[in-house]
Amino acid sequence: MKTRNTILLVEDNEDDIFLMKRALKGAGVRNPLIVLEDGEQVIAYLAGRGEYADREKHPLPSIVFLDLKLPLQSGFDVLRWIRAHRDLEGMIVVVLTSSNEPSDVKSAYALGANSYLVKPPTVDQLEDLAKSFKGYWLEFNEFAEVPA
Amino acid sequence: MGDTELRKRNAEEALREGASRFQLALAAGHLGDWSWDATTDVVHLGPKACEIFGLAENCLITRSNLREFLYAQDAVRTRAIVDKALAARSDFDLEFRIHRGRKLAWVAARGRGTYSANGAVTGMVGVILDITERKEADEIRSRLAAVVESSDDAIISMGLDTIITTWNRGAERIFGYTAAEAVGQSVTMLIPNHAEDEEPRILKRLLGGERIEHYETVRQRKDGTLVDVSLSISPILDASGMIVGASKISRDISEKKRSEQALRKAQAQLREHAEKLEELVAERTFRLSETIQELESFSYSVSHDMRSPLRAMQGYSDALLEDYAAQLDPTARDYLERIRRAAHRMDLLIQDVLAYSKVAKGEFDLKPFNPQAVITDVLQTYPTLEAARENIRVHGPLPEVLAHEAYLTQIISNLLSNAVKFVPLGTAPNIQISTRKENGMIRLSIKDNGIGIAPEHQKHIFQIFGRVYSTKKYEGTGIGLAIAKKAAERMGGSIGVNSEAGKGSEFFVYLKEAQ
Repeated sequence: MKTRNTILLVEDNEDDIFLMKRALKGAGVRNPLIVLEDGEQVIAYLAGRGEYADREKHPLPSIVFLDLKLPLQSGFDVLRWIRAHRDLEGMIVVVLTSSNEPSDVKSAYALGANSYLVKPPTVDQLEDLAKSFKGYWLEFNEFAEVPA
Repeated sequence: MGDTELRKRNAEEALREGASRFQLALAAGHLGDWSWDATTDVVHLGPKACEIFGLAENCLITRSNLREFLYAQDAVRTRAIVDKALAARSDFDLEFRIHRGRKLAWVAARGRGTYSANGAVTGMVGVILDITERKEADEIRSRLAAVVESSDDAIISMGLDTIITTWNRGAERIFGYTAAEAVGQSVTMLIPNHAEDEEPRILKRLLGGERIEHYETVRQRKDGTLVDVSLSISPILDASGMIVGASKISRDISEKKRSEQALRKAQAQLREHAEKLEELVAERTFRLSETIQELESFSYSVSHDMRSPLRAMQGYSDALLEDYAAQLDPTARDYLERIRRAAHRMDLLIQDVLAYSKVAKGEFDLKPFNPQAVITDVLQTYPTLEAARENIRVHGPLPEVLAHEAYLTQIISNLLSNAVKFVPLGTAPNIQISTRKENGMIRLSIKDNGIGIAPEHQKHIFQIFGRVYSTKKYEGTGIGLAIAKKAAERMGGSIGVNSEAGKGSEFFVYLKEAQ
């Protein structure tokens, strides 16, 4: 593995947080993982506002797992915000949601998502997904440099 | 020269002079002279008289010959008048027609009888005049007068002093005044108070040589009521081309005005109704789109929110089974497996309900599809079908149908899944797919060797949750056929079944044929 790219998991459902963490661990992903639970918090974090100003403690992620249904600001709002900021243009955003509505898929790509994944129902399938993710995004993918 | 001779000469001279003066006077009056001698029946015609009859000058002709010139219809009357005058020793004055060449000519004749001492008629003398032109002019005039008189429009003539000179029956009908009442009055009596200045303006335009056509205005009747009229006015010129008056044609357009008004009113009403209808449609459409939006957000939240607890149930069961396998006894593992299966079934149910609502409400276009392609696709994507692929036989080639791909996929996947699923234990499925044309539709048939459906159950199977067998025996949500039915109907087709318990089933779908 190359540098330890930080992963941000944006998810408000604690069960899904637990299962995702478990799957990533099962897949052997060792990267630093930040979990944030609502859209406003995510934007504050990415903008480095307030308590998140310290980039040593709160580094910018290279990859964001983004749920669409979030409190306060939706996943689409977060995605739109990220893509409106040129300094974050290399950030990989993977939508991870339980919705397979064609309209959601379409909107996500239109707003600049790099990938769209539907949460699989079983632990095994989730772990398969985490493994595939690791293989592709963490081992083969070249990242743009993350601004400090 | 003796006195007598001189007198005689003077008398002869005087006579000659008199005769020549007489001929001059006749010529000036375009008159022809004639005389008839009763004893010889010879008629002597003067030069002009010869011309009137179309005869050569100095011709000799008898009265009997002349009768042949007379127009047959006038013969009896003419003869009667002449005979009567001769008997009464009075003058006669008559007009009759004669054949002159190929044409008829009108002639006026005046004359009187000459008598012997004993009173016998010895002849007649008189003059004739060609009155053909006058008669023709009279006829045209009377025809015109008849036209004017019988017109529905008011036709009035007036002098520049606005005094009415003629007044037809149409004018009487429209304005209520008789000709006797109107002639001699000023036309201003027809003009209502508020339009007093109209007549002077019309006169001014007229004097400028202008014709006024279809000028719509209002006139007042004798009884004071108003009438809508359309006026056409042209100047009347005298022989020297001076304007001496005006002819006015007034058409009663009150009926037209009334229908115009009625039409305008009807149009306004129609507009109003159309506006109301549009408002209503807009309101209903708004409410409907609100409902649809609510439904959409409902199904969205079903797909998103209701499935996430299921994932948690499955996830934690899996996690327990994996992470704590050592601490779990077989009963605990069995319970966890049951939780997982129940969660899985619930997930399938939610997915099917969503699929059903999508089939029921979605918008789509029908496009030509080959069912074969969809069947191949379904066989490759559905794991349960992949195993039974060798038992499914398609009797191709299949004709193209007009369909929506997702709906056609729903139908074929549900029917094939059922065909594979509902077989007696230990029997290999045997499925035949075929098509045939029927009444302009394509009938797609899927025949199986399965357990069949008793007739009393056949009605229920297409209803949502219309299950015949318990989930324990044959797993499923009970929504598949309802989805297939809805999909077929939304594509303008239908679905049905032929089956008997224990003897297999044939499901058939009618689909539109692609042209």
